[in-house]
Amino acid sequence: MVIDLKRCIGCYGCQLSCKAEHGTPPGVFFARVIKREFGTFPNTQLVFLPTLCFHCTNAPCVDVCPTGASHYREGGVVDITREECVGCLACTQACPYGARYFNDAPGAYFPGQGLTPYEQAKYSDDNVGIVMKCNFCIDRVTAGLEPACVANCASRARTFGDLDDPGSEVSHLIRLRGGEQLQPELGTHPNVYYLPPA
Amino acid sequence: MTASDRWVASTCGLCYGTCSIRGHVKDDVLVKIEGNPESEIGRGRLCGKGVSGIMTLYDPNRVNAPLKRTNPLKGKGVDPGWQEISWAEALDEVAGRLKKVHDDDPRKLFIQRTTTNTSIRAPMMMFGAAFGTPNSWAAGGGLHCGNGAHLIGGIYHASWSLVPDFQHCKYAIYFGASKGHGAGHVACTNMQQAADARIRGMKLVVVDPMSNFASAKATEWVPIRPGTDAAMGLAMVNVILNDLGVWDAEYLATKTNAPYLIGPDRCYVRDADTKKPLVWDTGRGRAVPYDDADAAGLALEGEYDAGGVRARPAFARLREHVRQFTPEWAEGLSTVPAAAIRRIAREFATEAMVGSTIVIDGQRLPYRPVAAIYFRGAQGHKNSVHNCYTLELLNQIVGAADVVGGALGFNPVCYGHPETGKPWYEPKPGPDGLMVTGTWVAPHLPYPIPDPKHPESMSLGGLFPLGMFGTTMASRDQEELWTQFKLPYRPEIMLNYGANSLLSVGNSDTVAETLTRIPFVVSFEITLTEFSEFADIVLPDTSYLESLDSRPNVPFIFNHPAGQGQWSWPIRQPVVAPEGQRRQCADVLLELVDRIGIREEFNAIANTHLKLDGPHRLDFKTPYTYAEVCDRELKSHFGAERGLEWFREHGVISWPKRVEEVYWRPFLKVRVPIYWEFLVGLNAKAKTIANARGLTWDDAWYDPLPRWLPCPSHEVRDARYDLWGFYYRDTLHTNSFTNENPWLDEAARLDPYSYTIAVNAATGRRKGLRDGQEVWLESPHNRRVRGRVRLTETVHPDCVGVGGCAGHWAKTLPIARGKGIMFNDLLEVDWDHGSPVNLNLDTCVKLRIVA
Amino acid sequence: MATTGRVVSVKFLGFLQRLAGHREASVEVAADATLADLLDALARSYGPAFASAIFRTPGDVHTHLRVFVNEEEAQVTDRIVTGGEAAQVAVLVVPGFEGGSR
Ligand code: SF4
Ligand code: SF4
Ligand code: SF4
Repeated sequence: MVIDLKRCIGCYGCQLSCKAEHGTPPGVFFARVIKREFGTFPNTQLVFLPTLCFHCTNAPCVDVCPTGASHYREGGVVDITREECVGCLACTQACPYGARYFNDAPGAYFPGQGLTPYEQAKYSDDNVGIVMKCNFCIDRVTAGLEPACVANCASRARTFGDLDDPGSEVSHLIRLRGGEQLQPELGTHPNVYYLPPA
Repeated sequence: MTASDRWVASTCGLCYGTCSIRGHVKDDVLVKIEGNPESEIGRGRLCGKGVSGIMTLYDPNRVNAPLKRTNPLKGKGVDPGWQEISWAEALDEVAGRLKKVHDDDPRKLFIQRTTTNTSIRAPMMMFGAAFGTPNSWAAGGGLHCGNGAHLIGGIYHASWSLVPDFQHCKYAIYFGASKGHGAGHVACTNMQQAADARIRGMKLVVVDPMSNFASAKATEWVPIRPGTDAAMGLAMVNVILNDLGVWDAEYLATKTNAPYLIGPDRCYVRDADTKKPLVWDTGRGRAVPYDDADAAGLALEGEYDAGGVRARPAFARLREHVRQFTPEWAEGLSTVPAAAIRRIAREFATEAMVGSTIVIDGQRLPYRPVAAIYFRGAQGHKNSVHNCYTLELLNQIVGAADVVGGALGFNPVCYGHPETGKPWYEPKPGPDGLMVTGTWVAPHLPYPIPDPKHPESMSLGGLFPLGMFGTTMASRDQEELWTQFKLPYRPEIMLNYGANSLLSVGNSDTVAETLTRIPFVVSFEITLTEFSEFADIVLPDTSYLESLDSRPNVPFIFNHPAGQGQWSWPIRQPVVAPEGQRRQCADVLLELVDRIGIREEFNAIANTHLKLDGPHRLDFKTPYTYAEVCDRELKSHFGAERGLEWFREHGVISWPKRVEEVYWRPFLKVRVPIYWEFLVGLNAKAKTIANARGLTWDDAWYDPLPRWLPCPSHEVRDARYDLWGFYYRDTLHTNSFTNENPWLDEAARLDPYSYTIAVNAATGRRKGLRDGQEVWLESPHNRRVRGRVRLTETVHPDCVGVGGCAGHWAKTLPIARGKGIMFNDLLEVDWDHGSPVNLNLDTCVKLRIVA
Repeated sequence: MATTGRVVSVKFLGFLQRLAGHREASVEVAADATLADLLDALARSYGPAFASAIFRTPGDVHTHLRVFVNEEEAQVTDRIVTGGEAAQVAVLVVPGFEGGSR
């Protein structure tokens, strides 16, 4: 995936459409938007940084997972097999990007008022006590759709495609605009590239 | 798609952006909201709020049955003691009381509605007109956001607002505007167009006390003191006209009143016979009526003997007038360095490429790729008229108005669907050749200005024909002013639709006081709010996801994407069936119409208001359901075969825009005023009426040329109040309405600014403030609000910025309660804080931080 | 100017009813009268409050004024044409809530 920081306006559409798509419980985000200030007044630059799991090629989260629940899927997607996760939190500590969330207890968006019909339809008890994260909307992608955060972004800041194909739009954008991984020095080789904000 | 697994096309209702959506319903549960890619409105992509509507729909705190208060005592935080009653009982009481008031004096009905859900506007307006009351407002909307910006948008662009022509503009300046950055009219389509413009290389200069949504994406952020936009704008106009000598003479001569001759009395010099304003025809060497002159020979400068007086063209007057506004003078008020003002003025004038043309769709058109855009920031002040008037002049002097690359109004021209030619409207020349808007549904008619008259409405509107809404609808001195103006009645009943005026107008004590004076308040609500504490009867409304509307996105001048592309007319329809005893307000209104006995007027109004046509007109005497009215409206526009059934299935109808609709200015013979001559006469007449009632009057506000006038916050002399406070619209929330949505609330709690007080880091350090510290903001009027400090580099050192309109206290809103800050609680709502020309409220306040 | 007058029935809708003091009236107009002539006559007989509700400025009707002849919307410049029947004229002012001009 390529995320264009020049296009992104920090509208949270991705964070919230991801939540709606996956029905993630309170406190769990597969996609997030972070705001950072650079410079000092009046030469201030406010940057909106949309994030998600970077589906690293050398994913430390997979390395440390004792049960093999965290694994690579075909096409490079890093996924978690719900049934195999024991909630040991090794991976949440190993991920340098804070992309993993531990869903410790059954949550509800209207605390003390039960679950909404939507939450009843979307939440599963199997999600409690395990680690959750973005899986690049694998079900949507398999069905020929874009990931929810990509399809919904009104600024078209997020582009999804095949990084291995030099002819793909993502590869083209990285070349054209100088796409960079976040903290490449960690050696994780994220498969999400950022295009510069200016 | 099956009955148990379906997508339903409809329209978002979480802000007035009304993007087209589709809801995914599985086993009768709404599981996802996406944008509808078949519609131009949002183009299939939504903001964070839009996708979160599921949580508003399923809020367990929704009202499900009519409620009646048992506690006669009304007050902030006082439990009304709600008791469930039947619809029959509720309507008997409401209709009975309305009928009594209607037969007595219909002006005693006061209608209030929210700006958020725009679908209610037409039904409520039609109801109010049928009932015969002039008293209606949008609960602080207008006072804060539109009396100035929309007025100027209407006068110059026959439209509600403006955007840069994102497809062609090269240099845009935003004065307190965020078009394309996450909120507001046409939010989602603008976001896409603005992002494309950034990548294409459009330069964007954002003049704003805070660097947030638009400034973050700008080429340059210009921090400014609140309410001083006109000072900077006037200096720019001065630099462009007098230092650089740049203007678009052809545009000014043919599309504005720049050549109209102005006499020593500051009024037009008129032709003795036709009474038409005169212009100087250099070819013929004499003064002729403006519509009788050869455009090429019209004088914009000089001094002439005309009609027996010495007269100068309006343009010469303007040019002379702005000489006094030097960049140095403007720097003193605005803090924007004089050098920056000069540079930005030069860049704007140069990039305008005056005289250039471009071929679009085979037509050669003027090309002016610059735009000056102003909105809430420039407008939310007592001096909003002169602020917006000044900033608009930037577009006017270089001819960058509704031409390729320039500032575009939202769709003031539409020639209709190719098969039916409807809807059809265009601006027309009115009195003195000046433009009258051509639209329907929400008449937007700042011009021609009616004669001021002794006010008969609660807002005193008749005396201030340039104002939309007035402060007296909920002001501290309401009773004083009504007495002073001998208002012959007082409000008896308020009908409220979804507005929470406790939070949205100004300080809640003042608003609460005005509400307790109204004997009977009926409120259509989806949840009980702070406002509900003042209601006598609450009626359970359907949410936007359970409602029907044939015009969720019209009028096009309000909220349809500008620029090239498509027209889209979507509908709103229930995505899921309403639960409990919820009923859609529009249906209830129609039932009330019959019970009160005003069907004839309602149907007549509906025919003209909605442009119902031919066989689809309503008979004056037949009762109709709201669905039938919607069906007839759609058929009137799109043909008998495209009624509600067609739209339920298809969701939206689209057709391509024509070039003469988008870049209409060169095609239509209308002029706009660079010189507000009509203010001279208006002033004299209004002043006479006001003085007779003992109201002091300051002619400065009615100057036919733009000025910078100080607001109350600029005149606070007590040095302890050292900061200007303002609020801004957060991308995550629509006013106070979405605070109760737990997804949005969760995101806002994680956002560094949404629920905090933004204080410039250096200012904060000087005051010994820590990040996260709880402080009070205190106004010179002893009002205060509490919140957490966010030390930031994104705000002007003289200012503090507060996000949105939060700070709820109602126990019935468990998610919203206690979150964020109610900045409006600092605002005074009274005559002195309103504009004496358009009644706009001053929404800035001088304040101090107290730890 | 034709001298033989005829009678039209006028209905005051909305707040005009209050200003006129009743809902319906019969008014005699010239045979070739336009709706504007009718409005002039009404303004004269119902006084200044009524007149200012109809006219934006003397001689020029409000942009919000609507006139119907036998339930069909008509222009003020139109003649009061009827198919032999007595014309039913309905007059109404729609609110210009948005953007000035009330
Ligand atoms: S939806 Fe797009 S523009 Fe909005 S925050 Fe996410 S990446 Fe940025
Ligand atoms: S971003 Fe974190 S969770 Fe995702 S693959 Fe990389 S290390 Fe694992
Ligand atoms: S911009 Fe407004 S209308 Fe559009 S999706 Fe967002 S909340 Fe809904």
